[in-house]
Formats: sequence, structure tokens, C-alpha cells
Amino acid sequence: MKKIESPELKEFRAEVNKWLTDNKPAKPSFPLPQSFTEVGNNDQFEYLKAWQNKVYEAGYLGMAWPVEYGGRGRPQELQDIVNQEMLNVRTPLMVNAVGLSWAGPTIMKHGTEEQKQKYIKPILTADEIWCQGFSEPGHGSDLGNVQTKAVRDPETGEYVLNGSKIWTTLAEQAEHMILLARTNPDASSKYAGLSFFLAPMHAKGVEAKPIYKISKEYGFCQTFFDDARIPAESLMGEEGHGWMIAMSVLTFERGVTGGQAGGNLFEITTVRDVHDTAVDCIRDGKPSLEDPVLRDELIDLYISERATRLSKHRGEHSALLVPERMHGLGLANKLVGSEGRQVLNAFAVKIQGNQAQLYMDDENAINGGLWQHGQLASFAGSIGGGTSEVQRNIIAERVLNLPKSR
Amino acid sequence: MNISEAPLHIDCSEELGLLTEAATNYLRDKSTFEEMRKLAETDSGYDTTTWQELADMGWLGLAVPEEFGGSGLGIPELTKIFELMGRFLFSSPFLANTLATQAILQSNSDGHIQDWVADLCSGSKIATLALTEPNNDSWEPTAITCTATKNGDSYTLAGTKNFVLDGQNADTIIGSFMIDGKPALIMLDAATTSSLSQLPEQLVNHARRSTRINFDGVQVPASAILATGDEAVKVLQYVFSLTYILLSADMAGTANGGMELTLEYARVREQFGKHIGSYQAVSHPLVNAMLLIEDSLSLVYYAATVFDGTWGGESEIAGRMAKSRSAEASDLIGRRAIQSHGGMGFTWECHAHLFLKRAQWGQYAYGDPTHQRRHLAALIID
Repeated sequence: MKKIESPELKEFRAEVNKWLTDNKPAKPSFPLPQSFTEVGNNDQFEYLKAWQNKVYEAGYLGMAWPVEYGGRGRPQELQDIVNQEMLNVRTPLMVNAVGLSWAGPTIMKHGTEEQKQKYIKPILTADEIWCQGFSEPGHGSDLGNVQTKAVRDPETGEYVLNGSKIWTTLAEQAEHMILLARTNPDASSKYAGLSFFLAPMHAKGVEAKPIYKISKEYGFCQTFFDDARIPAESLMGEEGHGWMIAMSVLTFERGVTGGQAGGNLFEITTVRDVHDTAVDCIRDGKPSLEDPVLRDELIDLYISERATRLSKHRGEHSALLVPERMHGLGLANKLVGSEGRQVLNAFAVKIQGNQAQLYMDDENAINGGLWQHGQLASFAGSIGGGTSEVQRNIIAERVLNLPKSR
Repeated sequence: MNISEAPLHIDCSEELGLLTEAATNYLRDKSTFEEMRKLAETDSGYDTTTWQELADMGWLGLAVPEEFGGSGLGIPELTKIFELMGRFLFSSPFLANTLATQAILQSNSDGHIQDWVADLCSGSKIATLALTEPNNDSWEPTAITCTATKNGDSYTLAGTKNFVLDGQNADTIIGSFMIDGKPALIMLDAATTSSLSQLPEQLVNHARRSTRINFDGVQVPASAILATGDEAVKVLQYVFSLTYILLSADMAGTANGGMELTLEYARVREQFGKHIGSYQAVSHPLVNAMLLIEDSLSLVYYAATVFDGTWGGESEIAGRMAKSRSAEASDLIGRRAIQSHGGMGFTWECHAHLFLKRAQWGQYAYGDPTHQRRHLAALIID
């Protein structure tokens, strides 16, 4: 009963691996971001954009999306293999992450034929970058309280936007934003007053200001709307359907698979990487890897990493899921992944001993300060897209069936 | 770093799905809290009628080839049964009997296989293993100080074994002894060695039964030898590896049972005007416990999939990973179960402590997490 990859799939995997290895771009002179949320300058952006375009042209992106919109109309399992091989070969990440993984699948699910024709292909080619306008300065990821207003002009049918969105990754480079805004402040519930827009970023009155982060980088923006007018056809679905569509975006965002265009959005760092760093680390005059306490911690991280990867495979067999919580593994993806990365980065700093104090700009920093940077950057994962605390609330309510905490 | 590119897959046969359903229904019905509490007060700790039912359902020989009287299923199916026994706190000599049966099969000693395996599968006889010793408190299978010395046609035994699971219920005990400085497995027929000095141990998990046995001066015939030298080491490693998986499954199941008990209470118990499960101080630690349990289950099923009983490779790594994580999962939920029940959780009457106690036993038998990770470090880092 062992699940073995068919010869055709094996051959495909080998072909992909070879293409990625042969075509992987040369390492640039500047450091590359480990996540799409860390694209901090134009050099990084152009480098990553060119790579995504190359992958698409080779036929390895949007493989399971329909041909008529720019996809390749092939089985999802082929895209899955490509995604795995990208991690294996360690190719750079896909810069149009919001487009490929959230906006694109949402348009495919809720958009009109016209919207699909217009938006999908440039998402794949990276010609049109997308950003996400959900969170607001006053409310974080409490989306029910979105205050940005979209008022319909009865004469032109246009919507007039006022307000501000925060953590809008790549807003400066983006052509479009998936936007959640309030069209009816007097609706029967706070959720019913929300609508979903595919908003142009180059409209007058839209301004993106970069935010300087704890890692000494740019990458996030705050986007301001000051009487910005966007066309009527920017509305997706009907007025008042915003909450429902936003929830379906969050499903894609929290890592439940299926529907995304594919490609890696993060550079995955593994326990093996930490180990490779540790080999050169000295603590208190001795190799770090001889310290029994650190060895124990490293192995514990290794077990976690193996377990997380295995859980994805367990999800394929319903007989191996706990009947009381069939959807537990899927809903926990984001929490487990982000906290796992955080713990891994923190440990990789710890093994450096005295050297752990150095940061990226110091020429003596171990691995160029990669782990010190990763440790700081990892908070993006445990905060963005709903903090770990919110994730725990969600799991407590939906998986453990505990009463609501509010 | 020695990270093998092991296949990332987990087996799930059609039989396993069916068995899961049947076993869940049977154990839920049979292993009620009331029943298990009643059995915990008895000397034997198990119910003979139920034991016969396990035999009739084919569970006693679940992973024994059909030609020897078993059901011919595999380690993944056996693992699932252990998980469900943990889930419903089921008490019986099932672990002892299963491990001893597998040890006999692995010994390739045709005589012993013919004499014993069919009876162990049918429930007419019970077997156990005597492997660890108070002398060194080691979890290494070959750290043996008990000896067997040749004395004419027979062997004279010396030394003490502890934590002999269901020693008081067993018809035969397989012990590890050194013969001329080399490990050997010797099978004692309890009926013919009546002089055995065997004392019941008082375990933290009072639903379990085990004994401490002093073998000093016991005589056994040469035919009692099951395996010697490298052959015996292989059997010992096989048995230890299998134990890691089966105990891990038991602990993961125990953790699930403790989780369900705690969730049921947290959903209905009110304090300060709200259900306690609505307080994040109560719910978030339960989410953390759930994540550990999910880790454990994935590692357990994976270990069952890649199990081959050998040491030094992926089979050993997988078993030790499962044992380490499952122990932590069941320990955490056991503690949260008591704590979340508040004052009631501190009472004998509340069921919460039963889960922590079963978890404690599983954690320290055959190597705790620290021990497992130390071995993993040697396998993976060095």
C-alpha cells in the first residue's frame, strides 16, 4: 500500500529539478529577502520580478489554472512537484505573492469572466503586482471593524475612497490592491456593510508610504486614500459581500492548499541550515554542537520540523485524523509555521554565543547576520495575517469547539 | 548532519480504516471509566472475558503471520490499536503479550515459535519480557548485568529484573541475561520455575501491573535459550524499537482522551459568569497541547510506516522521535486536564489524573524524551 510516485511524475520531477538548477539566477551582490514581505528596495524587486517571469514563461507557474486566463490547464499535482523542487533547489521566491496566492485564487473563485480575463495573466507574468488592503492602523487584523470608506458617486458610478490601510506589502510597486472597505455604515451588522474591491493603485489620491521596520529595512507600506476615485467595475461581487470574500482570501492566506498559482513565497530555512551554521560556532571556547543542552534543543527542533512536514501527508488519510478535529491540521498551518520559524531563528542566534551580538552590517557577523535578521523578521509571520493569539482563538473555537472568547 | 532523504509518506491501508472503526466502537463500549477503575482495584488488573474477546477478534496476533495463528496484519494496524487503547485507558497485558510474541517470532527459534505463538494469539497463554534492571537503571537493551552460567546440562541464573510488565499474569517470561559476556534471551516457563521470587511493583499508573523478579539460583534447561549473541542483540533492538512506537501510540491516544475530557468540562463549567473554555488562559494552553498531539500522531504513524526493527537508520530515528514528542504531548495534556478541572481535578473522583498517570508510565518506560533525544543527537548530528 506504499504510495509511490508514478514513473511519469518522477520524470517530471527530474525535468523540473534540472530546469530550476540550470536556470536559477546567479546570486546578486545585494542580500535577497527571505520573504516577499521583506522586499525592501528596487534592486531586489527587479531581480525577483525577472525570475518569476522566467518561471512562468517556462510553464511552471499557474500550471493548474485554466489556459484561457493564462494558466497551463494541467493537474495540480504537477504544480505541487514544482513547488517542492523550488524549495529543494533553493530558488528565489515569487515576488507577486499576494497576486499568486490570494488575489488570483479569489478572482478565480468570485470574479466575473471579464475580471478573470483582465487580471489573471499579468499576475502570473509579474507584470502587474498586487498588494492587500485589509488591516487598518486602528484595528490591526480585526477586519470586522474596517473603517476605510467607499462611497458610490451616483452620477458616475465611481467609488470614492477615504481612509488608510497598513502593512500593505509592495504597495509602492503594486498595480492593484485587494481592498476591503465600508460601503454602508448603517448596515444591519458591521460585517454586512463591507464590500470587496480590486482597486487600482495609480488612481489620484492613493499614496503609499514605506514603513521602516525593526530589521532596518523597508518592505511594508501604509497606504492612504484621500478622495481617491476608482471605477465602478472595481467592485467584486455585490456591495455587502465583502466580508464573505475576505474570509475566502484568509483561507488561502492561512495556507489551506488548493487554488493558488504555486511557487514559493518564502525562503524556507531548515534545521539543516541551522546545523550548518552551528558547525562553525564556538561557545565559551568549545564547538557549540558539543554542548549537550544545545544538542538537545537542536534535536527537539528537528523533531518539530519532521512532524510538521509529516502532518501534511497525514492529512491525506481521513482514517489517520482525529475524528473530533478533522480540520485541525489545516487551520493550524499558519500558527505552526510562523512560530516554528521564530523558534528556529532564535536558536540559530543562540548557538553563536558571543558572536550573537553582531548584526548584518558587521563584516564579522556569522552568515552575514542572516539569523539575527531572520529572528527579527520572523515577527512578521507571528503577527501578520492575524497574530498567533488570534490563531489560537480561531483553533480553540473552530477545532476544539470551545466557547467564544469575546 | 545526517538527515536521510526518507520518503515523506504515511501508510494507511483499507484494513486500517475498518479496524479503526471497529476498535473504537469496541473499546468505547468496553473500557468505560467505571470498568477501568474497577479493574485497577484487582490484583491482575485485567478482565479475562475481555481478554478472550481480544483473542477472538484476532487482536492478540494482529501482526503475527497467519501461518503461526495470527491475523497477518502489519505494524501500522497494531499501532492504531495501541492508540485507541490509550484513548480509552484500556488495561490488559496486551503490550507485554504483543512484545513477547514478536520477540519469539524474531528469534527464528522454530521450537519456541511452534510451542508458544499460537497459544499467545489464542489467549490461552500470556507472555512477557524481563529486560531492565534496578542494578543500572539503564534504557539500553544490551546493558545487561543478569547472568546465566552453564552448569552441566542446565543454566543457573543470577540477578534482578524490574518493570516486568504483567509478570504476575504471565505464563512465560523472556529475560535478557549475559552468557559468557554475551547477551542472550532465555524463556522461562512460569509453570516449571515455581521458585521464582517475584514481587508486584506499585506503579504511579495503578491500572498497570508489573513485578520485580530476583532470578538468583533459578535453574533452566538449555532448551530455554531463545537467542544468543548477535542474534539476541537483533531481537532486543527490534523489541525496543517496536516498544517506542507502541508506547508512543498509547501516549498519543491517552493525550487525545485527556483532551476530550478537558474540553467537555471547559465547554460547560462556568466561573466568574463565563464558561471557563472562553478564557484564553484556559483555551490557549489546550491549543498548544493539541498541536503537540497532532505532531505526535504524525510521527507515530510515520514510525509505524518505516518500521523495520533495525538500529542505526530511519526506523530507529522515527521511533525515538515519536517517543520523545508523544511523551511530551501526553504529559502536557495530563497536567492541563487536572489544572483545568480546578478543585475537582485534584480529587480521586475526577478522571483527569488517570490520563496523567498513564502518560507518566509511558514516558519513563523504555526511555524518556531526554534519553531519546540524546540518542537522536548521536544519530543525526555526529
